[in-house]
Amino acid sequence: MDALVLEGISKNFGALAALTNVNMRVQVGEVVGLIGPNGAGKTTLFNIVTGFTKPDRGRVKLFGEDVTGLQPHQIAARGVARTFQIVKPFFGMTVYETVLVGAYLREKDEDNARQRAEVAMKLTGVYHLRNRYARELNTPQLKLVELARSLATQPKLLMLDEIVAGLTPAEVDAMTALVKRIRDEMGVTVLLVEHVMRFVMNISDRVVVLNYGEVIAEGSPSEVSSNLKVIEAYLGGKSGS
Amino acid sequence: MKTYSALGAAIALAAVPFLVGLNEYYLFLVTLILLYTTIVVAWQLIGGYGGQLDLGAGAYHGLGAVVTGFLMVNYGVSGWVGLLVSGAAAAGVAFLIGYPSFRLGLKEVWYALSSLALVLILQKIFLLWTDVAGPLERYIPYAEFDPVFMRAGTKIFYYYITAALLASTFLIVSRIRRSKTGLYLISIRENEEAAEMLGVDVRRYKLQALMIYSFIAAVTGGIYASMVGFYHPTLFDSWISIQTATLAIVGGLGHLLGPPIVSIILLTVQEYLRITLGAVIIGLHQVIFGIILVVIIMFKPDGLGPLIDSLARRFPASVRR
Ligand SMILES: Nc1ncnc2c1ncn2[C@@H]1O[C@H](COP(=O)(O)OP(=O)(O)OP(=O)(O)O)[C@@H](O)[C@H]1O
Ligand SMILES: [Mg+2]
Repeated sequence: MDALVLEGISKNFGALAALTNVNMRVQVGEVVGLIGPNGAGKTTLFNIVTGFTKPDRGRVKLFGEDVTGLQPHQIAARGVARTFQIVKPFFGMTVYETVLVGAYLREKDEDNARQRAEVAMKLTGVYHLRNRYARELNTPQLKLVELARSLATQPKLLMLDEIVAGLTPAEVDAMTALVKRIRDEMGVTVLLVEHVMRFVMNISDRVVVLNYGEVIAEGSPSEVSSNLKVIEAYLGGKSGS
Repeated sequence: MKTYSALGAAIALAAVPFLVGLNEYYLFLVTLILLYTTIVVAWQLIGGYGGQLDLGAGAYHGLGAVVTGFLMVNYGVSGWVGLLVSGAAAAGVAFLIGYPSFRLGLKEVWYALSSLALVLILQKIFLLWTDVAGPLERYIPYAEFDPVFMRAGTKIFYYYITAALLASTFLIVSRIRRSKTGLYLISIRENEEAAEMLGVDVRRYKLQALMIYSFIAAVTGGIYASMVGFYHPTLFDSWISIQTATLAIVGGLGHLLGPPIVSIILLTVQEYLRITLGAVIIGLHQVIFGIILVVIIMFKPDGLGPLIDSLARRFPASVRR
């Protein structure tokens, strides 16, 4: 069963082709890494899946349903949660309130929502910060809170946009363990965008490489890291001969 | 502790008419102050929690006055029914305006301006629509005391209606604040995209907040028309829009106690200045009132809400000990 299928997705910003005929699928239970140089179109692809950006061409399918053109809250209702590359905190809210917003997606009853929020905060290790305001937190903490509120929505597909950027190596290892637990214990499918190779290669079942808006390679972490086109893309060279 | 504060507030509200010596003119002024304060409290929903700088209060207030007044004058309909009908009419207008605005993603100054335009547009419409309003004042039939028709010769009648409206508005708003809807509205204010990604239907919640607030603003207009005994298109007053947003901001965006307390105090000061200085140099009271607002915002950019909240927290604690 496919969690996510992209069929022939293209998106232009004026003259710039951000994505060109992208085909991709993520199976239920997989952890898929999406990599590529700066400006390759990774975040644009996330925006298209989550309904923030409409594709010029192509279809987006979630768990077998065509969801192209739906609004983000409708995508969330279908079981997708997402963290943002540049964190989008609720500065004027406490951590607890922030995570509670996510929990209310599936728990209508306040007590259940609170319980759900507490579980998500404990799992991500931000429970001790619950009464602090987001504006008092640093970036690594904000990233964890963003993960906590995403998990509180009880997603089936979790999309992480550079969740470990700016973290220390020790924090990266902790995040690796956390994402593995989320996959194994909660059965959540994960699609992650990342530049930190140590993280992607360690955690992904499969890696998809974007360059200038096109998929140029796809395979297991070891296949991809030995792929010449990928190495060229990362070295910044346009493929020559 | 909460019940004591609520009881205290209720007793204070009930006692005001006697504190002003049952003087009709003062009763009129304190009723006016409470009416405007009610709008400020209701505005919290869209402005303080939802984060939209709405300047449509004058439109909804005016609509309440005109619709309630029209029904009383032309059909002899009870003011109570008029309040409900005009509230529903205002919520309907809010829907018609809010739906496309939020769909188009109008925000910040653009939303503020378009909501302010509503005040002017409705005023023009009712000036031209002589079957309903027109340029002449329309007088509501006099009754010495007719509670069913919602008309009385003494202002104390309107004072208690307004005090009850303010108290219920405060209760409704504080209840919403603690509910899922309140939390959702605040998340929209803090970051729309993040809220949306957590499943918050941003447009729907903004619309809901706008409609509840506009309903209450219309009810204040209906009470006003019945109290003064006439209605006129100048009751679509952009000053009310600006006063509402200003008092809510000075009182502290999203704070529960700050806005009503600050509104009551500052509106009292404003009326005092108007009575004492307004006749000396026309408009002087507005200048001084403006200076007071500027000074507060210079020293307390977040408004007086945080200060009032911390005082409110400290006070009961020291009493308890
Ligand atoms: N809203 C937009 N309007 C115009 N151009 C855009 C817009 N969003 C993205 N772009 C452009 O599209 C291209 C792809 O951007 P995108 O953010 O998807 O890249 P990315 O792979 O996420 O890069 P990074 O690794 O730096 O985050 C870039 O050239 C970017 O400047
Ligand atoms: Mg990006």
